[in-house]
Amino acid sequence: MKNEKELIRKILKGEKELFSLFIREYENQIYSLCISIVKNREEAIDLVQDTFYLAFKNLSSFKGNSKFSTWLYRIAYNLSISRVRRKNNLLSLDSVFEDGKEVDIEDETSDIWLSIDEEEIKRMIEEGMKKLKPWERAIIELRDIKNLNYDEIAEVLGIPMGTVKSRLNRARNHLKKIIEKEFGTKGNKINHIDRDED
Amino acid sequence: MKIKGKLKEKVYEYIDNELSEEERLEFERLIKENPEFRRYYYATKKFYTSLKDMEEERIPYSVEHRVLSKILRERKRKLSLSFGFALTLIIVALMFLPFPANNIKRRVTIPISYKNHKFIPSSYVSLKHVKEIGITVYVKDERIEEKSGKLSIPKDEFTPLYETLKDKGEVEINYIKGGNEEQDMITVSIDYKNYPSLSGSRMLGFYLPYIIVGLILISPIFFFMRRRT
Repeated sequence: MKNEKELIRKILKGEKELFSLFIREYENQIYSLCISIVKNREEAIDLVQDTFYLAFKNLSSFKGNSKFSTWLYRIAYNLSISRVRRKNNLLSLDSVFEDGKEVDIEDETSDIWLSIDEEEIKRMIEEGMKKLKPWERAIIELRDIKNLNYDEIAEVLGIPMGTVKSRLNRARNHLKKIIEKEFGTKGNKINHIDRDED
Repeated sequence: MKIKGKLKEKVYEYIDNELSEEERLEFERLIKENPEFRRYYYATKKFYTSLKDMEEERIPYSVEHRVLSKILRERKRKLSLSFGFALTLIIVALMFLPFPANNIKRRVTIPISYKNHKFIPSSYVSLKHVKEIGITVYVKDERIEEKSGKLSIPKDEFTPLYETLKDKGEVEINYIKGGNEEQDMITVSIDYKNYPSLSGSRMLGFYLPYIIVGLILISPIFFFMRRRT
């Protein structure tokens, strides 16, 4: 979005109605992040509203060091994680990473990927995502679906860039593993055909 | 085959073109030489390509109106709070200066021959607040300084006049005796408090602070009614 700083300046000067331009521009992106974390439409819509309302109230604190969208993502992420944490009564975000230590998830090569078409894989990914931890879904959403760079993700999540990379790979591999387990060996929904792709 | 964690990470980085030239060449060599790793790479690539191709879920309906109305409502709330605060200050100030009963002296000059002249000081003066009535006769000639002077009305003469005022709300001059000359004039002066309690807009002015205080006190009812609706 062009002229965001100018728009913010005008809003802060009193033209509050202009804030609707930001809502129109970013509500879908914020919603997709929120729903990837909370997995409930109504809650996600509430969170989108809260995000924009909070952003408006704290607009003067936005210094413009990052993109406005990154700032919004950070608010949305924090609100969504707090919501999930309250709901699940989870104590710490790090619990999934065992106090930050990396847990090696065994990843044996499964051939299921080579035997099914892309649409089927997407459907499985959609199902598999539901079984991920909220923050795993968030990091995958931010990087692989929204294409944010590592710096931006680090800012949204409030963690160092190195941690972003390791958590991201962990989340991806976890998702892959879930799908292989759920759809490959358990249900036998997929026929294993060994073949190499060139 | 168990593929090492670091190598697994490299698969994503290779697909995203994030490897250095040297790492990329090494990675490609591994794919070529190691069939297990090659299978792993293609499997991961298919998974990852599909993952990156997933679409964002779109919001079912826009929140623009809701957020904006909340923002504007907040502004109204702030304004009404400021207004309420200012109003409270005004009311407090009014309470400390509640319609100061300024003494006002009104004078009217009339010919002495008008024996039963009616003098109405003001349409809004409550006669309850008439403090003093003085009737003074002045002779309009050169000797005014010597002959004239304030004619004080003795209390016993004044009382009936005051009673008349109380009853009828007007000054009725019916006891005054002046000189014989036509041009002699009397001056009636009435000293009263401007307590606006009788009628019209003045009456509103008198009750307005009480009305405002009343409205402020009952305003939470409207707030709750609106919330319920």
